[in-house]
Amino acid sequence: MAGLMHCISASVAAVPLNTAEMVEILMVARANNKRRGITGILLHIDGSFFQILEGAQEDVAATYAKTAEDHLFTRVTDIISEPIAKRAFSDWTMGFADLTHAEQMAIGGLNDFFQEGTCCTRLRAGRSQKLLRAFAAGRWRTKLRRDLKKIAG
Amino acid sequence: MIVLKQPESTRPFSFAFQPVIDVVDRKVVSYEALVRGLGGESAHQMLTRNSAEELAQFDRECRVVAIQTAARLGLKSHLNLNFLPTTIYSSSEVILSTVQAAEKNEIPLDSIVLEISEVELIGDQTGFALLINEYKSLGINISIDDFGKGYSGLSLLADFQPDQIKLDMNLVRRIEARGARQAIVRALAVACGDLGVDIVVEGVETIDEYMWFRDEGFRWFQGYLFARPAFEEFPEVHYPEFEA
Ligand SMILES: Cc1cc2nc3c(=O)[nH]c(=O)nc-3n(C[C@H](O)[C@H](O)[C@H](O)COP(=O)(O)O)c2cc1C
Repeated sequence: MAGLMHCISASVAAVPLNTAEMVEILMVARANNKRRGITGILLHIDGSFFQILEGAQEDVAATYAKTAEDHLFTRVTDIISEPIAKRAFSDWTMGFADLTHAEQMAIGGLNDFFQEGTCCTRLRAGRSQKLLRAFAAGRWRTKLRRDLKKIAG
Repeated sequence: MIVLKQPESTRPFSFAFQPVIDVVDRKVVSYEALVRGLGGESAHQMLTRNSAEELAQFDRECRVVAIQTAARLGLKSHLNLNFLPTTIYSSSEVILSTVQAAEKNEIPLDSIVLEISEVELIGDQTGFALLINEYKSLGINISIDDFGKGYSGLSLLADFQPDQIKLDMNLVRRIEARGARQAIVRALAVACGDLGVDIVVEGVETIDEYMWFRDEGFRWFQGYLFARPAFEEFPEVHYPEFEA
């Protein structure tokens, strides 16, 4: 049995991305993920990304390695990599929500991940759900500091 | 399938259950199973009688019996189970009987929370991480008990992330008056929030301790203030009045 894992990371866009570019990235991501059996979700707000990849260990590792080389985003922070028993996003080759426009959070099904106390207590919520909420609440936002090189030595 | 050596009627031990509660939703989220001798002896008193081999066998039997007993009592919440001291490193086989017992008693594996004491983890951390990953892939939840008792807690969080930690009593006792402990606990709450680790405040005995944690936003509690362990029973919970 190929063990399932998830890999949760935060990153920041190296250049401002417009909607067309975001759509393009998502289309490539979804096509690749479908082929590799990867599922997950991507959140964006003001240049900060938060991503959960789930799948067989070698597939997640391969996808993660490829995205880590992508020049479109930088400062990738590994938050959690661990085995899981089942997927939290089994229907999504890569769900996407732009939290810059909060109303888009109504995207099908996504609401459940942000709402507390609907069907279950948070103690039952999995790690994915807890971390999505943490990001939505303002944690794990990465900032680019373009001015650092100017510090006099 | 592990066959218990002794039939239930002559087995010299059974379990007491103490609830872990969510004070916001006012409900029991888990019961911790605590081994007790039939004469009321604590686990510690019973352990000193056993050899290492007997101990390992006893450790496995304990979890099986705890699951059977909890199922018989109509468990609807999570179930927190313990490892006996020194038995966790034996091998991942130790969990096989637990998994089988859960399946047989129709308790989903993601309702099982395995508690591992922080002070047990100072040895082989790599071996430990492998073991834990195996449990995680089965969907079993991992809790670090007595968190903050030893000195390894924080470095533990750096290398692997449990689903839950239970704050050590020493951090909880009289926290309302102890600034250094308050600072540590606040920092832990931030770290655990960022990593998706739930914090259970354990061993709460006074209203003042409870009030301090509640004001800081903690919601999962266990302790005499709410319910004492009850022998072969799920005890009634006393929810603090002001949490209307
Ligand atoms: C924020 C962000 C998220 C991405 N997520 C994925 C993903 O989940 N899967 C994927 O294959 N590529 C993803 N990519 C794209 C990869 O970085 C890379 O461009 C792509 O895998 C290259 O695919 P190709 O070799 O088919 O051209 C993402 C890129 C960005 C900027």
